Amino acid sequence: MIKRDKKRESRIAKERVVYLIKRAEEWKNKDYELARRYVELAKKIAMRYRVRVPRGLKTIYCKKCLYPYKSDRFRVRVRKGRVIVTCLNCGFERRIPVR
Amino acid sequence: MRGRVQGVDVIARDWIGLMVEVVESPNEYEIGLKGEVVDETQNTLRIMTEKGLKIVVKKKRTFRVWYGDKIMRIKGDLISYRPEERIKKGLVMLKRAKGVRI
Repeated sequence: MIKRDKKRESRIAKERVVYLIKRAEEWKNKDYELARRYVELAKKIAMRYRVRVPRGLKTIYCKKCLYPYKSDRFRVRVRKGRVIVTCLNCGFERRIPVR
Repeated sequence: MRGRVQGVDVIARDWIGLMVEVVESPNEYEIGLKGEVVDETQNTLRIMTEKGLKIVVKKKRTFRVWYGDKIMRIKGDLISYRPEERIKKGLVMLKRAKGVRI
């Protein structure tokens, strides 16, 4: 029985998650479906190795349908002390409190 | 000789975005396909070549990979897992191989 090297695993996983989401951001204007696939893979890796998606990268894509936010496919409004980001692909609203 | 082999952990890394060339294949028309990997599944690599998107099976093929500043030959059977599974399986596989320290 070979012992797993979990620290090394999570380090590689973290790098891959960041790399994939950044790549999705680059590709969203060339191929929207492929960009979604990259986000999907990044989320799968993050879940399997229990790695957090960094805060800044979390708000790049829709939490529900996983499409990256792209100009004219999302809306940003400020309501009741919250920033509300609406995804126009699936209609999901993400609410971010303003401190 | 036991030594530190650098870069072999490409098995556990992301293949999306790497330059890849098919070196050996039972299908002779596939040999020489070269391009950037755009997507990956358990059994196939999707390669963007000059002639368009090509889907190549991983098993029974050998790939030449440009990883960082290194060029390596990697057997497709080693990477025929789901992309998210490969981190765990790849590292265990490298540990099991004798003479390789990463």
